[in-house]
Order: sequence, then structure tokens, then C-alpha cells
Amino acid sequence: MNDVPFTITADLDLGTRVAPYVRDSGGEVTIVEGEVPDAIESDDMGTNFSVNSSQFLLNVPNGATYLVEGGERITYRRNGASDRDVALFLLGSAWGALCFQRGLVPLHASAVIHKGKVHAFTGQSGAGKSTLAAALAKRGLDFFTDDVLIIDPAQISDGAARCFAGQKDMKLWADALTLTGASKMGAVRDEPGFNKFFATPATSESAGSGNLASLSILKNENARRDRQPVEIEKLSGAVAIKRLRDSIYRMRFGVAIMGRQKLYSALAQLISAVHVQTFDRPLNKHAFPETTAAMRGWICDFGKSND
Amino acid sequence: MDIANDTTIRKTDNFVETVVDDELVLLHIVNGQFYSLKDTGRRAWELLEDEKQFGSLVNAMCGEYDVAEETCRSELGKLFGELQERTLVELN
Amino acid sequence: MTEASDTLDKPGITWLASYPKSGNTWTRILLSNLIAPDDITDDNFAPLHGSISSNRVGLDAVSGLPSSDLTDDEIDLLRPDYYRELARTGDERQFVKVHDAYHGNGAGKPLFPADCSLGAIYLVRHPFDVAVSYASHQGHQDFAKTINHMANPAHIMAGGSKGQLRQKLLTWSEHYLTWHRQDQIPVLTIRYEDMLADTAACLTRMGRFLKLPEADDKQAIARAVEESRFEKLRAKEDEHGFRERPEKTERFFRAGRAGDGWDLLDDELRERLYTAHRDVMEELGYKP
Repeated sequence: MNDVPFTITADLDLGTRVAPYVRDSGGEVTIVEGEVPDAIESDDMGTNFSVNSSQFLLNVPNGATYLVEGGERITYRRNGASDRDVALFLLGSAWGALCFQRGLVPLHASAVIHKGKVHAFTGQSGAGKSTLAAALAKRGLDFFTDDVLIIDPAQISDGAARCFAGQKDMKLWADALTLTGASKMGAVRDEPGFNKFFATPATSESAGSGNLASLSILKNENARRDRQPVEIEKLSGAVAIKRLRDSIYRMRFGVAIMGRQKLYSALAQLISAVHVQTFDRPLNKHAFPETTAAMRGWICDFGKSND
Repeated sequence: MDIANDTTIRKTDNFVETVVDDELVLLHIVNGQFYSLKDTGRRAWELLEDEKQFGSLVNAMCGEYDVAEETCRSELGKLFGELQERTLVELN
Repeated sequence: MTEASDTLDKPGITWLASYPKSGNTWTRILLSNLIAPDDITDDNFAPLHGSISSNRVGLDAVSGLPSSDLTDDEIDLLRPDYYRELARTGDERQFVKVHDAYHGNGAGKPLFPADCSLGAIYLVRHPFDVAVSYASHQGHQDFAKTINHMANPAHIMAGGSKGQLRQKLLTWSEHYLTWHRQDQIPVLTIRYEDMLADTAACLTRMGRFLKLPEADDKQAIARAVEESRFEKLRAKEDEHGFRERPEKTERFFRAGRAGDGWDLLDDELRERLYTAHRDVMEELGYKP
């Protein structure tokens, strides 16, 4: 069995984050610099993207333009952007579109892996997914992925959902680096004062795949409502499958590319394999060691009772 | 909603159906919403497999639950009215 | 300009603009009680359509880009089209809270486009009271610090790694002046102190500016005023919490009074504020 959901061959340096996917030649997906149209036929357009069932077009302000086609080809027009900037946005929303075009479902989640089981964290941008995964890696759990976790609907069976790491390594803001003790690498952007860095986690897991066991939705509500500050609560029924749906990365692209029938069928299968819960905790720095320990404890206990 | 006994009720193709814990959840593929059926609502939906007409469905439900026929009829009428509104069933 | 535009052919955006701690939330609650009282729940005091100008999640969804990989200036390039798209895809009028000053982006375009804006209600409050309230909202009592913020043309909120997009406030005076010097979007100005003194009259002015059918319904206005009283809001917050309250403050709905600033600030701090903001204070009838 492959450890990556697909392979790529690119004419530029994509950095370390998707190193396991890269092949010198013959990759299933080709990434090249070239001609990119200014528009594609589409019923669904946002301010900087257009999408139809087989094509996705993205343009970055004062940056590159990307065309993702048929799950097999990504063409980019630089518009003066550096390799680093081209790679950065290619591995974001364009990567999500590529997954959908290949029949894969990307989740917007970071994750750790423990005894073969993947435990993922999802939530809005800024909720703390990457920070939590990095902190857990510092405390001995194996890091699995940052930002994107890929599900293959064809490989969900009997309550086991095979999933793949979307990216190795992480992007962390300066304060999260300090907080989690992750190792700082280069800056994410060239802009002075942009304090976000690539980082390697304390434990770098070499396995690119595993079974998705749990999804924790990160929240920060209890502190504002004077409730119990650290709370892990299982979700069930319709609410659970709704939150699972909400964790899908760029759902709008998914609907345009795969269609709801396929996506919802995948969700229906996925929910039987995945424990869905909320993790509500204060965001202040002083609480961080305690809240991280709470999640670490939960993950280790999960492993025990299910052996 | 008043539904005649010989009205047939047919599930549409507009959803993916799944059971999560004790809820039957219908994932609507046209409007994107998720609908949950629990307890008696879930049972009524399950009985649709065998009871295609409203009258026989009411009978079947009355057989399983300790409820007056009029109440059962009116509750099921409301349920199926809502399901039709959401294009999860068709009533003929 | 005393009336919002009616030349847009689809529901557009009404901006609820203010420097922080100047009655923006209260205004939203009042308008919600007037326009959409049935949508109010314990969890959601102010269920009007529309969110805040700095909504990062919304921008990410509409642009298809990860704003957390873009600089704040690059994000400002995207914002005018983001608001246009919000207006285009909304099926009713949206009320968007905005703490940003009125300014342009790197491409020379105003952040808040006239072609999707019906108007702006600008809330303003005596800067002495703002200084004190702003400190409390940040969880401290260092009034000198907030006075420095209010005098700093480079003062910003959020941006970078924060959950909200960067908002440029400029100084307290410039914030007021930029919204009032522009002639692209009609503006109605309401003083917080007038809201305290006669809430019904202010709500009626807002309603007329917005051309709401409820504007001349005295009963609806009175009901909305009653439901939005501080005591009621504070009681609700005590029971259910309030989602806009930052973690470090004890309570969002504090005092709802005028004049705290004069009492709590010493002579030197009041003098500093007056020196920095004299012209606008005089224009608004605010005594030092």
C-alpha cells in the first residue's frame, strides 16, 4: 500500500512539506510553469477563484495564477513570484482542488498519530490546530500532518477510515513557535514583519498514512460564558456528522468538483469510523500546558480502552 | 396536513441516508441541509419500506405505539407534510 | 446627507461604524429589536444579517485564499471585492460593524466601496469615556496606554496571526474625520450621549435614515428601546455569557453611563486627550 495518495513531478522546488509525494519523473500529477487563462467557464466564482467540475483557477493578489485540471495537472504563471511564494499558494487551496478532482476528500485539520490511530484537530483559521499538534509532538506523540488531512472514500471500510498526511512540517506564527518549542526554519513569506515560519515538529513521523480515529473541534467559548474552562465533549447524531462536514477543507470547491452525492456518501461512511468531539479550552498562554496535557491524556486513554 | 389513506408515499432520490448513534440522518444533496429523525419519526420512516400507503402506515404505527388513531394520523400528517416540503418524499 | 441611498438595485450594506467602545454593539441590539425581534435568542442578542468588516473566515471563503499566508496590506487589496461579493450574494440588507477608519488600500481604492453601500451610521462618544472603556475592554486600568493608542495614527487592531483581519483605526480624531470627509457613502452621525439621553429619538433618526418601515411606529421603537436596556442586557450576560466578551474582561456590559471618563482620568490625562482631539471635540460639542 502506498504511503501517499498520489505522486507528483514538479518543475520547481516545493520545499519539504510534500517531500514524500515528489518523484523525479512519472508522477501521477504534473506541476509546470506555463500558460494560464485569465478565466474559465464556471457557475461558481469567488473574488479570486473559479471552479467547475474539472478545472480550478486561482489568482493570488500581486502573485501567481494557477490552473488545476482533471486531478492530473497544475499549471502556474509566476507573475514575478518566487519559487517559495508559488509553492506556498499551490500547496493551499489549489492542493485542495486537486484532491477533490482526484476523488479524495481533504479535511482542514492538523493531526498526531498514536498506535496507528490518527487523532485530528479542526476548527477555524486561528483556532489553534497547528499549535496543538506541535505541542503534542513536543510531549512525545508522533506528529502526523499540518493543515490538511486527506481521506480516500474508496478506502473506508468496517469502521476504519484510511487517511493520509497532507503536509509534513508546519507553518507557525512566532508566538506559537515559542509556545510549542518547534524548530524554526525559513520564513513563510519574504515580507519584513511577517512573523510566520516553516517549522519541524519535535517528533517527525515517517508514516504518511494511518486510520482516522478521532476528530476534535477546537473551541474557545466556555471562558467567555463562565463555564468549566477545559471541556472535552463527545458529539453524536446529526450534530456529529454536521461538524464532520464542517471540517471538510474548502467544501465549496468540493461541491462544485465532486458533487454532494459523492461527498455526502463519503461522510456517511466516515462518521461510523470517527469519534467526533469538541475540545473547549481557554486560549491564554498560561493555560496552554494544562490544556495540552488534557488532550494528550485523552488520546493516550483512547488508545488503551480500544486495544 | 390532511393526507388521504390511499395516498402513496415515495422516498425521493434527493438524499444520502445514514444512521449516526440513534438518529437517522438524511443528507439532502440538493439543498445541502441535514435532517434528523429520532424515535417515532425514525420508526415511521423505516416503516415506509413496507407500508407504501398513508393509511397502512398509520395502522402500523398505531400497532407499535400506544396512541389514539386520531393523534397518530395528525402527527404523521404533519411529519410527512414537512418531509414533502423538503423534497425528501413525494406524495401521490 | 441625511438619508441612505436608494439607488442600489439589490440589498446592499449598511455600515455601523465607530471607534471601539462607542455604542456599536448597543446600536446593533437596538436595530435587531426593531427589525428582527423574533430572531433574538439567549445566545444571539443581535441577529441582524451581516457581521464585522474584519471577518477573516468570511474573506477566506469568498476569496478562496488563505488570508493567514497573506500580509495585511495584501489582504486590504482583496477587501473591496469581498464586501461587494457579500452585498451581491446577500438576499437582504446587511449591517456590517466596522472599526476601521475610512481609508484606501495599496491600489488606491477605498476599502469600503460606495457601489455596494447604502449608508453608514457613525457612532461617536466622548473620548474621555472611550479611553476608560477601551482600557477595561483590554483588561487593564492603564489609561495612559489607551490615550496613547487614541493619539497614535498607526494604531491597529488584530491582523497578523490574530483571528480578525487588521483594522487601521488611525487616531480617534482621524477616525471621525475620515468617515465624515468622504462623500461616497451617506453618513448619519449619532452621539452615544444622545442615545443615553433619548434612545427612542436616536433610534427613530436611524430608522428614518435607513428608510425602515418601523421608523415611525412609536410602539415598535419603544419596545425595541425597552428590550435593549443595559440592565436587561447585563442580566442576560450574567446568565448566558456574551460571545463578544474577550477572555480577560469580567463583563462586556459594564456601565452604560456618560461621564466616567472625567471622574476616572486625572488632570494630566484629560489635558492630553483634549490637546490631541480638541477640534473634533468642539465640533461634536464635547467639553474637556
